[in-house]
Amino acid sequence: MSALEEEQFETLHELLRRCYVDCRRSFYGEHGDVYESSLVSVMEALNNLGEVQPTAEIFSRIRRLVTALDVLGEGRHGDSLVDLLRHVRAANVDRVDLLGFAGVRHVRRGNHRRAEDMFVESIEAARASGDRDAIAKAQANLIAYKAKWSILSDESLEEEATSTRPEVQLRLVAARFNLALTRGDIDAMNEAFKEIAAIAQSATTDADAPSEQFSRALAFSLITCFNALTGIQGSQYPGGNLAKVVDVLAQREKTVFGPNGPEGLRSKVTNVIYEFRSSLKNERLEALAAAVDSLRALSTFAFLEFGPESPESVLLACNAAVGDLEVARRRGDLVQLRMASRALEQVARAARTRLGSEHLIAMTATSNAATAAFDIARATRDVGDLQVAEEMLTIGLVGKATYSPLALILRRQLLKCQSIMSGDGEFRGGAGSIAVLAPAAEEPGIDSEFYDAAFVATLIGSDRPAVLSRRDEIAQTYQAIGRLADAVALLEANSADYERLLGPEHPDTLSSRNSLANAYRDLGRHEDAIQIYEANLADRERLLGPEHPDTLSSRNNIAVAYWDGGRLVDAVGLFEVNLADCERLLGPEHPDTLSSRNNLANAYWDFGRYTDAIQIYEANLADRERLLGPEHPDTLSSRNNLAGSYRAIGRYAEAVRLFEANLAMYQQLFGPDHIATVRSREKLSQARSGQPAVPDS
Amino acid sequence: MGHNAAAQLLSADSVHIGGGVLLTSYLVVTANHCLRNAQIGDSIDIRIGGEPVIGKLVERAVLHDLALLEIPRPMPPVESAYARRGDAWFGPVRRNMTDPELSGTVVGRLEYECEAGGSLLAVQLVTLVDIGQYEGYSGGPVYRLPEENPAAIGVLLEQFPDQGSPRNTNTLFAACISEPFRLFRRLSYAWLVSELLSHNVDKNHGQSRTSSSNSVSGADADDRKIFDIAVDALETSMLDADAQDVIVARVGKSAMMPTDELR
Repeated sequence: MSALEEEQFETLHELLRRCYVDCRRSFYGEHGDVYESSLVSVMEALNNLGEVQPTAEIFSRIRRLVTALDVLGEGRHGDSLVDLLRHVRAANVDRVDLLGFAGVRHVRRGNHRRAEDMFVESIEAARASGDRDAIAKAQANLIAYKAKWSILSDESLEEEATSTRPEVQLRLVAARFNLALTRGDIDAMNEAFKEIAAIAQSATTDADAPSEQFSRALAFSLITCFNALTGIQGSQYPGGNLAKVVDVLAQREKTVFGPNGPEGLRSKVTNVIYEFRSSLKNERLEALAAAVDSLRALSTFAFLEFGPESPESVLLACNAAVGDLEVARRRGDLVQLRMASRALEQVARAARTRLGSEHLIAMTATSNAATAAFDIARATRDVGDLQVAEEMLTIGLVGKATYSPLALILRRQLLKCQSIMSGDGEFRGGAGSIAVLAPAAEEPGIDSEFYDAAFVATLIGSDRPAVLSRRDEIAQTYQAIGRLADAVALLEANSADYERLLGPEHPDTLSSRNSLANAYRDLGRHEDAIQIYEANLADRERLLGPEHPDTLSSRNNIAVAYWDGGRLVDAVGLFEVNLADCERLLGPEHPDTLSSRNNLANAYWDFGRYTDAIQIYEANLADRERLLGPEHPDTLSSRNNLAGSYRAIGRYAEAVRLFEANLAMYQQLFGPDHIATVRSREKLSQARSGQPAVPDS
Repeated sequence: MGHNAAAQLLSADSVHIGGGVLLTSYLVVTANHCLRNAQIGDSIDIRIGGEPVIGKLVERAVLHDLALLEIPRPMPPVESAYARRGDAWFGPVRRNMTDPELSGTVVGRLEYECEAGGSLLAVQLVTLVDIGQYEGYSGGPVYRLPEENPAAIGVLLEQFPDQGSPRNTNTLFAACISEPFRLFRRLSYAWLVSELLSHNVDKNHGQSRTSSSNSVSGADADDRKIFDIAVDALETSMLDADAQDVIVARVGKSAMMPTDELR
């Protein structure tokens, strides 16, 4: 190093130091924008370097100064400084760090396109330098960046990307986690998560306490990885108190970095999404609604801060729309549900335009929108709804290959949707279904992959919770098409696996047991069903509380099973309790409450309490006509029930009037030859001829 | 909303002993001298937004006159902000609602030497209501206006100078709202990591196990300025494991079985 260079460096050092100190003084608010003039000197000195190559020490000071400007809220000055740096000569290793730093900074400032360029250049510089740590870091950055913003990645880590430094190790494992995430490989994600926990464990038990920065990285890695896992497999945090940690972390980031800067906002995003996630499971409606409100508020904020095209904005908007939908679903409000579904569809479309249709956020939003449309269509069987659902499902299936579990669900839904449209069958599942189920599996055009025995067998071999829920779906389909024994076999295996993998008290384990009991009931194995239902009810009362919707549903299930098995007194008692709970907790007009009321009436009827039963049927029909419309399948059912009761007690004229109304609607909905229409016609003619009731099965 | 995070601390016989502010959903920060008679682990009656809760004294920063209490169930924490010179402020917590509410202007932030000996980033305040003696206001939050969207900028600590007379009776000092994060072990990243890793360890054991590894951010040990901490953390915040928050596929499992019509 020449004497001239040495002098130059010394001056630069001093300028950088002074500028940093001035930033700090400005930050404390005592001296206005005192840093501005010293920043000008720094820029001049950097411009005058010419062919001289600064030391690593100088670069690190410059990075620190840029960050100080960011903390100060003067990011635009930081931008100019970073731009200037790109023209300064640097050794390859320094350039790797510099470009990586610039990339991370661009991400933080919401400038994603420039960030990616920086990361790619940084990898090139790292390869040129041949330094293993540098290559590892640079690659990990690009992978982490892509995964963070859900850009499906073809990257992979190079073999030589290894390191003995825990900081770099963490980054590498995190990159592997992210790769697994975009590929949907849950086993690999769990593996990486464990490794991160191990790195954290050894850091905290190390004689030297970890640095503050490393601890921060560890805390965020653990939480964000776990958040991703929850989203996919609904797992519960294995270790300590997650909720409290997330809370402190969010407040800490917000307070230390200032509440409105990108960094504070970022931690808010994590926190709000975490809260939303938790509220989706096992919580009351108010908590969910509040979480959705926070999502929406933050979404507006992100829109202003990062712009409409940033993944943050899109992600928040998508989650808020999903939240609205869930609120509507829990309220059982069809009008609201339709609106929420439309809104989600629009958000999904925006996500595809802004992030590209292969982007994981866009894909997930699209498939959520499709599923929502499908749920509505299945409930209403409205032709318009069905067409919307079909269209959405078809869009959702574009680009499915990289995320096959999702595609599988969509394909099955599309199949069902088309099946309903062609009037071949209704997929409501369970013995209570009013329609005859077509042997869908033998129909031409059915996706054979779904029923393929070999395919199902590969699923049975797997230990992934995500696969288990696919098996649930298949079992439901078996049930719907009448392959009850196959459904039971699958559900028995599933319920055992859930218990083994998630533990006996996990909500998903309880759900899977419930599905098994439903299948037993369909098969006529009432005692087996009742045994499971009773255990399940006890578990849910203990774990979820006596007023949780799942607990109500459990109680209803037992009552139905009692009734099936001929235990009428027990059934009536339980139905009465359940109806009172539904009315109190869900409200008197909630669809589940209406169903529960109808179930009670059925039990009254079989018990011989005809007047009580008829009174409820009459009220229920009026409610459903008003709330669901005259052609809704549940309304048709209600009308059928009331008409049947009238006929049974000899009130033929009223029975005929109702059966006529129903027949007209069946004809219009399903055509003259559909089995439901045919049955309806038979009933009408029986009522006309004054035949007394013949109990339907 | 911000007002609801203001807390009032009461003695065993329900006498007001100071103010506090809900810094996170579970943690109330107050002035340590308000709790000079309490021990770590003691229960303190607290009122937060009018609601009674029992807080437990969990950590002190003696030199910086701050203390931390844990409450058993989460409540919405305070929104915070940096104080700027000239901000209008108010402090709603006081002994009786009939006592005057403090309000005034922010003079600025400075590195301040507490009476207790430590040095911290403080907000210097002047009050419009000169009442000479500000006992009973300590520990309470200092909010920045506007009132409909208040943000806490500090925790009231002392008046200036507190030793000897004559007193400059309208100058008050509050710890900057970010200081507790620098000073308390419980709010440090290292503590959070060990919390994440503790596998259902009984809390008391957990504390003794993790405390040895936390000397770096131990209270009073580290007098680095919050600005440097922020710069450090931000500069090295690589993307690390920031896995994205994937949208949740709807989890609604077939919980409600078909309850419809069986006739």
